[in-house]
Order: sequence, then C-alpha cells, then structure tokens
Amino acid sequence: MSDLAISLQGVTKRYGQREALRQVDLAVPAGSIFAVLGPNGAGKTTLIRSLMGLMHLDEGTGSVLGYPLGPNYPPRSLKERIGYVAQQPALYERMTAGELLDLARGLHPRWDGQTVRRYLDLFSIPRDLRVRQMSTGTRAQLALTLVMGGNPELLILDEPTLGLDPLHRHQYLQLLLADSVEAGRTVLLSSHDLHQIERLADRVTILVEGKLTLTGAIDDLKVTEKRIRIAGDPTEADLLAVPGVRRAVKEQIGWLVTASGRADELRASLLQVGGVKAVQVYDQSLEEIFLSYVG
Amino acid sequence: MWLHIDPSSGTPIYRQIVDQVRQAVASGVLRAGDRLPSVREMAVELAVNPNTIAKAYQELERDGVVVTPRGRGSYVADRDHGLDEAEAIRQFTEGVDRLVAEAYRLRIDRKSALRLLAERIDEAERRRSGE
Repeated sequence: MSDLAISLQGVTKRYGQREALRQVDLAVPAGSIFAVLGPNGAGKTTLIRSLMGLMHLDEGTGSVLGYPLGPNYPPRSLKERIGYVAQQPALYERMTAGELLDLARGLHPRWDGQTVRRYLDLFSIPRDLRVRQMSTGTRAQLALTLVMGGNPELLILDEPTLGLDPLHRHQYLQLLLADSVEAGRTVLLSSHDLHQIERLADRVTILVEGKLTLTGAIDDLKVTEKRIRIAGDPTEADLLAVPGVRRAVKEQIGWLVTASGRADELRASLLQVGGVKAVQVYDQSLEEIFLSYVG
Repeated sequence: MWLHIDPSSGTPIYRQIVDQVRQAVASGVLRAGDRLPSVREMAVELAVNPNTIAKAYQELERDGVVVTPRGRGSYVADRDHGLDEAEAIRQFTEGVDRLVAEAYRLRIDRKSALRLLAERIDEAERRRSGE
C-alpha cells in the first residue's frame, strides 16, 4: 500500500466564476492526524466533500486509500473504509440512537459493537434517546460513535467538536487519539480551534481563498515561522528584500516583520539592513502563524 | 498529571514536555528510577498527538534524562551523564541568559540574584537527598 492515505494534484473546483479550490496539492501520510485550517469560506468543506465524492472536480487528479478520484468514485468497497462526519451531521431526527446504530451496523461489514457500547457508555447516551431530543454536543458524540463503529481506516471530520463544551471536547479528543493512533487510522479534520489542533495534529495545512498557502509539521512550522520586532527606521522595501520576509508593518516604534527561516539567519540578515538598530526574534503559536497567513 | 501543556505558547509542545520533565527531575518531583507514563498513556491523558510525546521522550533519552532499558518503558536516569560538558554548559547558559534578562527587567541586583540562585540550589539538593 502507498504511504499516502490521501493525495491530490492540481485540484480545482469552480462555482460559476468563483474558484473554491485553486490548484490544490495535498499529501496526507497514512496514520497521521492532518488538520485543514482556514477562515470561513476558504474552501475547507469543499475540499472535504470532494474527498467524499460528493462534488465533481473541474480539474486535477488524486486518490484516497489507493482509489483514484473520478466518475465512479467512491466505490462501495471504499465507502466502508472511510468514516465521515459532516459539519452538521444529518441524523434522522425521529430515530433513536439505538435505531441509528442498528442501521449503520447493517451497512458495515466490519462493525465493532464493543467500541459502540463503550462510546455510548462514556458519552452517557441512552439507546432510546431520540435524535431530536439531543443537544448539539450529544449529536456530535453520536456521530463519532456511528463512524467509529464502522472501524474505518480513514476518518474525515469537518469541525468535529463544534458545540461541545471544553470538558466533553477534551474527552472527545482523548477518545479520538486513543482509538486512532494504535489502529493506524488516518484522521483528516478541519477546525477553527487552533489550540486543539496544535495538540492533536501531526501536520497542518492552511487554506486561504481556495489555495494552500502553508503545509508542514507543526513543530517545523514553529521553528521556521517567526515574528520579529525591529528598532530603527529602515524602509519597507529594504526589509521585504531580505530572504524569508513576508510582511513588514510599521508600528509606532520600529517595525513588526513576519518571516520564514532560521532565527539566527534572519537576525543576521536583518541587522545588515540600513537603518536597523536592533532585532528581536519571537516564536509564534500556531494561532499567530495562522493569523500571519490569513490576516 | 503534573504536566501542563500551553498550546497558546510559541514553544512547541514537545519542548514544553521536555522542559517540564527536566524541571521535575531537577527539583526532585521525579527521582531516579521513577517510571514515566507510556507514550500512549501520556498522549491520551494530555490529549496530545503521540508522535509529539514520542519526540519529547526521544529527546529526553538522547540527553540522558531518561533511560529505556530494553525498550520497555521510560525511567528517570541517575543523572544527566549522557551529556558532554561543553553541551551541558551550552544548555545551562541558555537558561542563565533568560534569568539575566529577567533580573534586568525586574531590577533584581547581582547580589540578590546570586543569593536566590544559591538558595534554590540548596533547596533542590535537600529535597533530592531527602527520604
């Protein structure tokens, strides 16, 4: 089997004139926890729905668990291996938790009843509770229970913890980690909760206006993505000419620069710029890195 | 769990874990021979990616803070004997530089700074030799 659970090359999706995805290349290693970040409307849900075959692509190729995207995608045999939770999971309102689980069991050849019982117990979801009586948080928990019961190789979660309070969110993520990593399950998720992603994900990619702007291992990004405070009065052009510098903003005192590169190299080259008196390089959290690409 | 992860910090999470385990060893909270939780246990407890925990453990092992006899479990090592002196000094100097900057910011003079350092070393030694 290939080492990539998901790979995309040059994927483009248009809605009329608007390009929702523009030349997207994506490589999700098997067994990794991969996060897709981006502001609202950046194309995260379009990307996820394309992977589920819910959307026709205008350009590009790709594969999921070895199956090529295309006209007959995804075949039934692949669907069974993917657990997909949409942003607002469509659950039959009139059914009970138990009835939904019975329905899902019928669709999955590798149904894992033990896991399902464990989840219902941990989440305290009674089997006879009807979906329409459930809170948003309980619906999210039930949706996870439904997909984990199918013992999927690939989990695709669109904003999975929306509507969960901090306590239940922590529990949800603990379960996801405990039951995914050892099983070698690949997890692709989108989220706005950057602190959560920072803990959970191996790799992240940032989607802005349909384009991937930055992809990498979180630890690597933290090493290379820097915020730099500069004292003195250099010109903006001179600052932007330094390799790695992406943005320079004039502040009341000095300049604030965002840049990619090694701290010592950035410091050394910025000190060479005319007018620069002092340079202080700061580490950034994932949230600050995100804002520096999106803002 | 005595570890605290701050995802809003610019410090990578594996580094936060490494620093906190080192501190726990230095202050006597963890003693030589104590068993650390497994990678999986710690990952689930903290809700942190296991690769991050594994990376922290690898670094702790490389630095001689932790040993993994026959690859079964991680235990606190006797001392940082795995480090050569130059590297030990380099790592220590990084911490000292931070302290010097803090001392300047908070207007702590040389005498008070040195006295505090000596007091904390005494206290850590007392705690480690206790019991």
